[in-house]
Parts: sequence; C-alpha cells; structure tokens
Amino acid sequence: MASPGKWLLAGYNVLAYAFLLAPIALIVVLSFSNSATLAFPPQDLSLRWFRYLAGRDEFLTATIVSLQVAALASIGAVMLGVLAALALVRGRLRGTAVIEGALMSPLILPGIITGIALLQFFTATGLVRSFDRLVLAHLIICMPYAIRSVGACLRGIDPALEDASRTLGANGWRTFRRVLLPLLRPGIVAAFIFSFVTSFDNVVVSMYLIGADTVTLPIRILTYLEWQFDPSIAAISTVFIAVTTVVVFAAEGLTGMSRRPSV
Amino acid sequence: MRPGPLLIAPAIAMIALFFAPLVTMARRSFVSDAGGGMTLENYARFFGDPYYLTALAVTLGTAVLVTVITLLLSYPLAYTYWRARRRLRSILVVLLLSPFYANVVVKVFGWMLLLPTDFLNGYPAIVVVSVHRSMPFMVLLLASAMARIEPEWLESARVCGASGRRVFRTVVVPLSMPGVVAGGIVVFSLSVAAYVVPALVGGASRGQFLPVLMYQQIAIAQNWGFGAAIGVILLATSIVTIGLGNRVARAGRIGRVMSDGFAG
Repeated sequence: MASPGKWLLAGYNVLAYAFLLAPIALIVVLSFSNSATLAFPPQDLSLRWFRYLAGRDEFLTATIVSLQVAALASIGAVMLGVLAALALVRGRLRGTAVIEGALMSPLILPGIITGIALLQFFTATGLVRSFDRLVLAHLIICMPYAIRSVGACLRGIDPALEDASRTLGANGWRTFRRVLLPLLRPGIVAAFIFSFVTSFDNVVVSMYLIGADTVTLPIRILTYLEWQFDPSIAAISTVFIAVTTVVVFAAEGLTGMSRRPSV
Repeated sequence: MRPGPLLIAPAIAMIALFFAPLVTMARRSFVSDAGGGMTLENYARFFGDPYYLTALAVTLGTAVLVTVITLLLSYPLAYTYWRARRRLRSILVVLLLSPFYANVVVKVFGWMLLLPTDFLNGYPAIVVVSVHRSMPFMVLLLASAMARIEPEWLESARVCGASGRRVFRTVVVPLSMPGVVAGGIVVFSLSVAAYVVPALVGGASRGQFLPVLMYQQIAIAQNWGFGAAIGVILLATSIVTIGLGNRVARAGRIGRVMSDGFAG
C-alpha cells in the first residue's frame, strides 16, 4: 500500500483504539476521584471511594458470592470437561460429531434464553435454593469452554505415550494420573480460567436465578446504576476490571492464548 | 489406553439439564397465562399486535445495522493486526482483550459517563454501545481468518504485477471471507439477544427490543407463557441466522462457520 494510505490506516487505528478503550479508561480514572460526583476531570485524586466500598457489606457479599459461584462452577466444569474430552478425543465413540455439537450448544444459545429456560425448569422441578441454581447454571455455560480447552490440549498429546505407559504395566488410572494429567496441565489451567471468567462475568443468566442473598457482583453493579450514580460505582467497576485483567493475563502468561489462532 | 464411553456420561447429563429447560420453555409458550390447556394464544398475541411486530423488526434491523457498522469499523483494525510485527501485535492484543473481557455492565457504565445526556437515552446510544461491545469479537475473528493467508500468496500477486490495492481487493478480501461470515454471525446473534445495552442506555426505545420485553413479561408482569413465546421466537431467529450463515459459508466453500461467544 502507498505511504499516505499507511498513515491513514495508522491514524484510523489510533482513533479506533481510543474509542474502544475510552469508556474503561474513564471509569478507572474517576474511581480515584475525591469528589462526590462523577465529574471529569477529577479535582483531586484519593482512595476515598475504595475506602467507602470496603465499608459497604452489599459489595463485599456480592464479590464473595461471585467468587464462590465462579470457583465451584469452574471446578465442576473442568472435571466434567476432562472426562468428556477423554471420551471424545481418545474413546472411539459412535456419533462423536453429534455429541460434540450437543455439548457445545450452550455457546450458541443466547444467554438470556438459557436464563429464562433454566428459571422455568428449576421452578417446575422444585430446585429453589438460588445458590445451587446459580452454580448449576454457570456450570452448564462454562462446560463447553472447558471441554474445548482440554480437548485441544489432548489432541496435541501423542497417544503413543499412553500406550507406552500401558505396555510398561501401568493400569488405566495410573496412566491417567502419571502421564496424561501432567501433560494436560496447560489445557486444564486454560479451561479453569476461561470458565472462571465466563462465570464471574455473567449477567443475563444469573439475572433470572439470583435470590436476595445471592446477588452476584455484576448484577449488584447493574442495580446500583439504576439509582446511585457516584464514584463508588466507578470504584467497584475498577475492582471488577482489575480482577478480570489479572486472571486473563495470568492465563495468558501460563498458557499463551494469543499464540493460538482462535479466540 | 482407550477410555470407556462412560466417561462422557456426566457431561451428557449436564447437557440434558441444558436441553430439558428449553423443552419446558417451548411447552410453556403454548400455555395461556390465564390458565387452561394448550393454545396458540401467546403466538397469536405476538403476531397479531403491531407493537410486537414492530419490536421484532426493530430488534432484527438494529442487529443488522450494528453488524454492518461493526464489520466496516473492524476490518482495518484486523488488517493492521495481521500485518503487524510481533512486538506491535502483542501490544494490540492487550488493547483488544481489555474491552473484550470487560464486563458488559461496566462498559455500559463507561458510556453513561462518556455520552452527553441528551444523546444517552435513546436509539443512537444503543447502536454506539452495541458497536463498541461487538468490535473486539469481530476484530479477533477477522484476524484469525486472515492468519490463514500465507504472506507468500501476497508476494506472488505482487510479483505477477498486481498493485497493492489490487492485491488487497483480489487476494486479502476474498480469503478473509470466513472471518467476515463468522464475525457477522457472532455479532448479529450477540445483538439480537442483547439485554443489558438496550435496557440501560435505550431510554424509551428499550421497549422495542425483544430481550427487554421478554424480561419484563417474565420478571415483572409474571406472564410466563407469553415471555416463553417471545423466547422461542428469539431462539428461532438465532438458529435461523446460524443455519443461514453456515449455508452461505458452504456455498462460498469457505468452511464451517465457527460460532462462539454468545455470553449475552
């Protein structure tokens, strides 16, 4: 491409990334504001609103609920994901493609429909404890990511290693524990992190399933936006962004996600 | 080692727990909210009322508009990402992943701060925020399609005498079509089913978006049957879109469309 074209493209990139990052950057800046309003630019910088948050039980509770749900759902999703990936990749199942399609379907369905359908189903079957509802629902939406991450990792492992282990006298369980599990570690870490972020981030499925004492963090922020508009929301949003960023970039460091072609 | 087929049983059980509710919802959509047996009343109410038909048209039309704008704005970014050297690329991926992983509620809050109040609560705000939300998906999917274009192909086109513009038009654009289709489907489905964006920045026009109407019918009006019917209509729309997309992809012999990332 000619040189002016290159400059034009570079200029466009700068503008477009500014557009993409502006809302997030603004929140982070305003969360350190010392004033009572969300005016930009902030007059003074302080940790006032973070201190305010630390004294508010509802945010602490919501964070704990979100972390608990995300941890339990991710552990469950990874365990089921490892088993399913073993059967899909190594087992000679009939109709693997159909089964895999069915297992991936929660990815395709809009979350808002999954949420409503699960609400009606849980109500009809009498599963009333909202915490259990949340964990089960999140497990379902996280499982495809777990199966996919572990499956991709398993496809890269030479089956000859397992055969060798069996030939040398190890039984199936020992082969799994001593040979496969260590080799699968990157896939399992990626599966856990994808699941954790997916669960921690979810709004539209949780929206239907929460109870008064099991409000998750994004929903707490959502309800706050409707009636309280001060820098405390910016502060809690900054905490949210920080948690997600740390998890995502830790994952990036551990597994090198950006070197893979797909998202 | 050949793992037994039983290993997949727990995952299948879990996925049954995903499909069973869909059946419950579909059945519920044929039950009147006034009570009684099976009926088409909920669907008759939806398709007989110009208000809901307009809402269907607005929801679908907006999703198309958002998809087209997102595609146009994202293509140059994906192209730059693809052509960038390793170092620049690792910076760009951080810049892309930050908005990609930021929670939708947080992003919407950022826009509430950024947009002037008179612009905020209305239809244009929905479009702007939806495009913002969709762009990282589109860029990443386009870039992953472009990653499959070998640099040698561009060079041979240049060697054969094609201008830069011509290489772009006749090599890069056609070969990136799988990404265009995949990104288009993902963004369209994401926009059709979006709840948070229209509910928070839509002002009065929020009532023209099916996901908002569905939530209101179920959570506020307690019309579970009618809400379920709206859900089935939304679901049908998503399935038809993905099916059509795959057909387009096959017709153009550009492989199966990856569809992913409908977090909501």
